[in-house]
Amino acid sequence: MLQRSFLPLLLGGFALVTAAPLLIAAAPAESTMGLIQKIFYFHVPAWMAMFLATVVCGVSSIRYLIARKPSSDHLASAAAELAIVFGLIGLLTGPLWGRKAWGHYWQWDARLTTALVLWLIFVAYTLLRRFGGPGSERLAAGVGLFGMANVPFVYWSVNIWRTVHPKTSVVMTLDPGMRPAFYWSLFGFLAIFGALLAARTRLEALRASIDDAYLAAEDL
Amino acid sequence: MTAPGDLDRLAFDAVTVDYGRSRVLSRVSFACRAGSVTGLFGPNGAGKTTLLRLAAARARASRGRVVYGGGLSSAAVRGRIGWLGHDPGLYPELTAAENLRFFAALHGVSDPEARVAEALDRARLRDRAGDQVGRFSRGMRQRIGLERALIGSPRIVLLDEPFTGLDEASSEALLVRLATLRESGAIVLLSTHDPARVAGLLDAAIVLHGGRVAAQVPGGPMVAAAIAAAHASSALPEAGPESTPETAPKTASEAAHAIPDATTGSSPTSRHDKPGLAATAAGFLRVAWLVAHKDALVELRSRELALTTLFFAVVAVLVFAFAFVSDSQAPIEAPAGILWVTTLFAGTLALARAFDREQAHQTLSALLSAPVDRAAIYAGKVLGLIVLLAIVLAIVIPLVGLLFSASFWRVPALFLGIVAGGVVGLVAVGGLFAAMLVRTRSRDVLLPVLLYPMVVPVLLAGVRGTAALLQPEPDRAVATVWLSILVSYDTVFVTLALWVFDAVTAED
Amino acid sequence: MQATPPTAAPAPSAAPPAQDEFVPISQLPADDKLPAAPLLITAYAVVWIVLAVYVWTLWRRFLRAEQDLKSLGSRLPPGR
Repeated sequence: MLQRSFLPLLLGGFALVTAAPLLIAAAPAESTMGLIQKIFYFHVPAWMAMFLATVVCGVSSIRYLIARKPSSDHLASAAAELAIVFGLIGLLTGPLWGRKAWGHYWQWDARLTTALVLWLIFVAYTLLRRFGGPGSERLAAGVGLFGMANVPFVYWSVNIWRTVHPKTSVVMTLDPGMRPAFYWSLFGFLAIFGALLAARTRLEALRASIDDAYLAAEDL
Repeated sequence: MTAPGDLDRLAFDAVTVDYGRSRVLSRVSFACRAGSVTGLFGPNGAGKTTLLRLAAARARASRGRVVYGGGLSSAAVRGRIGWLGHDPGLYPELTAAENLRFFAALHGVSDPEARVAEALDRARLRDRAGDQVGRFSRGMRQRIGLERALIGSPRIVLLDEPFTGLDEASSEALLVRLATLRESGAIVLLSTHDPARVAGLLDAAIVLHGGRVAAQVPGGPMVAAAIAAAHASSALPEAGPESTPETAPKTASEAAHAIPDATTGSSPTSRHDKPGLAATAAGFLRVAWLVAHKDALVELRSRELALTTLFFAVVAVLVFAFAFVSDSQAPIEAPAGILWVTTLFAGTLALARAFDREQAHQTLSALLSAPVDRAAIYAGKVLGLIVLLAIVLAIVIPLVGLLFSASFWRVPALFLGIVAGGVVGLVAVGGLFAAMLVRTRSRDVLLPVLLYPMVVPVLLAGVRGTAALLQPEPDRAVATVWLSILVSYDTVFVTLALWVFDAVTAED
Repeated sequence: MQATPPTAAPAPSAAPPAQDEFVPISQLPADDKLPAAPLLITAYAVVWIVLAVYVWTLWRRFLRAEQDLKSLGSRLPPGR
């Protein structure tokens, strides 16, 4: 199942990430942070993939609440899991960067805290799906919807609390020399994200169809 | 307004119900007519309760459908169904009369006092009307529970093991009551382990085994023997799920002249009319107030939530004192954090218990099957919890102020606003999650797991806003910013919760 | 336009002005001594490890589902 249709895309994505170091190494070193700034090339794409995952999860949750189509539910649960995976990459690479740039692994800065809280929401979502038992799909959809609605508030409140992190506008104003490496890396992450999302959604659908098959077997 | 005769049929059309990987009901088909009593028989786990829940529009069929006479949807039919489960669905802290009055009001009964008096007479408990239901015997509670189920004059009456725990006299009285219901044209569907007791009453019997219809037996003197035979050789292929013979009414004229109300002439208020916006709002507020008032009464009698929550809050404050106080003084901002963490912990405890209590006595099912806007029930529960937390905080805030020499009240309006905004946000989101989780496995651990990340903005705004007011010179500007965040958060999440409450808590 | 993220940060590691003396490495603040390469390599390894572990769990879940399907097939009578 996994190997049949998804391995090509997966391999493509991985190839991109593998090739990225060549470009990243060639990109100009940043003036004040030097070498360590190169974490940027996989730290930021990981977060972008995570935010994409949260949006996919939130939108699918709303669609599931309205139309109750199982496919929306499968997509939402797959996206939530990927939000955890890519969020974990972001949460682990960020402190390594911060250790050198700020002198601390962790700062209670707006973006870091927001990301952590958002990540926790999706961990909670996954725990509900895992331990809630049959019938928890709709509850999970409610949590997905609330999680998405919560993002602006978490960001707003934490932002007032404190801000140390570089502004997101650095991506827009990126030095031309840094651009190829960044976009190459971003493309790699998004390709992997897409491949994993498709695979995970298929797994969910497969499981549902196995459940159905078990039930059909009882009818014989 | 729907015509009185429209709900004259309840039919199951090849209904299948799956729960995870187990099949609870498998292609069940049969039908009941107005003015008939149908018995459901079968061993434990045969699917009797699920079938009744399905009929009550409280469970959803995985395949097949439940058809109500007149082509009514399950939502439209909800208020015309009377349900009595294993548990009578009554508040033990309320008196018999208060319980009946509450459910009569929820059902919008036109002359509730007369209706309640009549119900008490029927239950033969008029002299015990002022006694708390918790002190009643099992039989008395079951009698009141039945009257509770019938208070809205339902057309479909669903009874799950109604004879369990009843003495001989109460059983006889219940049989008589069921006979009058049939005479008045109601559809009665009941499950029981005791065919002999109801044999004389039944118009038809359905024997379930392993989620399938094992046999369909017509009523009459031979019904008990026939059911026993079906039990012995369960899963009879010839009584296959495809056949759908209808259980005939006793007489044709009875069915034709079925009167709208199952029990009495008093009819519910015109709940099927399309009300205007003002009427909708008034109805919403009325139901919310009813629920909140009921909760207040229950709490006033038991004091369970207030006392446990308060004790828990005080212990939490103590633990924080151990953590933060050195040289007999806590840091200047510490009381803000202590106050809000205590509120969060104590609030979680109260939220979980408030909904667990409803679930334990099956009163939540009784509440949710009332023909009212479910969002109003949510609003009522939230209102009750806000009042409860306000009482707890009225003690905790001075206590924290005293123990940590914090002067919270230097800008009273701002502090009160922050406390109110925080409590509303916490209870609005927590109430929704607690209601969602009430039927879920491992709900006790899942409530904090889901709630805490979701209320981070509330906590942050509460703590920072309060801390701003604790500075040597209270920082009004900062506190105002946090207050505005709280107000926006509350507005968005209360709206969202009211909107999705029905969708996420619906059982169907 | 150079991306200079740490401007908002306390940036203890900001490049010092032109040196006018040699400071023995043992007297440098700890943060300045911190080599960047191991951190960068660790971060890069983290990306790989997290993704690999996830793909591995996904793979296993697929295998289990397929096994489930097979055992289900053997329970069904032929022709279904």
